[in-house]
Amino acid sequence: MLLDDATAYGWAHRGWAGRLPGASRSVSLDPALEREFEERVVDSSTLAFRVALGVLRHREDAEDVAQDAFLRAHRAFGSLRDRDRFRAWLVRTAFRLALDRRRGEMRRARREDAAAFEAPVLVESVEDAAARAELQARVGEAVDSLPEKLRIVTVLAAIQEHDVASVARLLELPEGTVKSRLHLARKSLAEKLRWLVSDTAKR
Amino acid sequence: MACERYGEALADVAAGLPAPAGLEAHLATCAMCREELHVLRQALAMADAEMAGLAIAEPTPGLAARIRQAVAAADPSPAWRFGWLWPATAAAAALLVGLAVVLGRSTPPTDGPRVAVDGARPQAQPRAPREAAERGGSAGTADSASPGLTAAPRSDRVGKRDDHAPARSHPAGGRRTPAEPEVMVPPGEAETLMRFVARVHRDRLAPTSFAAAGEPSADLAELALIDIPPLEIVPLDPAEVSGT
Repeated sequence: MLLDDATAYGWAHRGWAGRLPGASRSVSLDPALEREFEERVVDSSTLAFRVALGVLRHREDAEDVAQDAFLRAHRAFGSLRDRDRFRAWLVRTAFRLALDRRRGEMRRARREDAAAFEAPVLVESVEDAAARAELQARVGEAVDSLPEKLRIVTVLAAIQEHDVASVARLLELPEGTVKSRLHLARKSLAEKLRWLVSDTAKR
Repeated sequence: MACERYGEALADVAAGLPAPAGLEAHLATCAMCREELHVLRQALAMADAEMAGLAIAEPTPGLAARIRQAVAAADPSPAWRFGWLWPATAAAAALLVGLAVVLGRSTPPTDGPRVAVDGARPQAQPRAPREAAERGGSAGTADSASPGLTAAPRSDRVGKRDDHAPARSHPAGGRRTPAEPEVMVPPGEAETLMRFVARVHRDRLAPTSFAAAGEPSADLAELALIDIPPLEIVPLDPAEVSGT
């Protein structure tokens, strides 16, 4: 799917230099390296986006973070040519950048909340939508409250559809470590969210 | 009592671990623990459902192109970002090499004070470029004021600029004397002193013989040996140090 997108853009197998205004400066990367980097963008930009989305839960912000992660990857690409290593590096960088952005947003939101008036009460007709948003927010908060090591495992497990081996490769960790962390994370989530089930049942 | 024993195990089982021995039997008889396990599993199922969207989330189709554009625009690759360092480094290296060559050529080929007199000390000629550089804009006036001298130091210094520089071979085969002194003289007295030093050097006069040879001048102070007493080091009194 993503490869098709890239091919549709017509740059999957072409050099970037000379195709964009000011692109001549990109020649500084070896052409072979440049081609490899293009391939990494093709097969890993969605991964970076999803990792960022798992933390930020906001599409535009997640795309900004993915772009930023690739900008950094381009600088360090000389030492990141191996595909697995590149993806592991990208995941960590996107996760870290997303966390930083999330923390900044939360600080800003707290300031805005302190200055804002009390929110209006939702009308009855949109109660279901509000409940849905509430559920999303609570699950997000529960994931946010996990320690970082458990949090990234949780996000990647969701992205990789609970394929422990894939998560282990992305994090460059033994599978046993990933399994253990994933279990701790899920146990913690279950305990944090159990009250939500009780609330839903009462309604 | 049994419910408390299995409280922790329920969360483990809900998270995917196999049930420990005895839990299945307990669940068969305890409705409360069955309900708790059900609630925990439902909570996790809600979380999984919320997060399942991540596996299928797609960025906008333009993301890859946007990344490409950002990389090309920012071009943060080290080779470009620090590319200016290479010509700058090369220029600095060339400058240093040139400076070393100039300084090497201007090193005096023989021992003795750094004073050169036309005709009398032809071997001192290579120093001219360095001294010309030292003189800067005042070179013309210095030359016109002292036509017999190849150079007059701008700051009225006579001798090497660096007393602590190690002795090194001169390209022409001479050797610099590390102990060659740098003498500071009052402004305007440089020419007089240089003539004096040149005279001493040309005639190989020791200061004492120079004094004995005459040429009395009211400007010349009588030379006399200075008696420097040996340095005596006295250890501090510990009582004084401690202030008691």
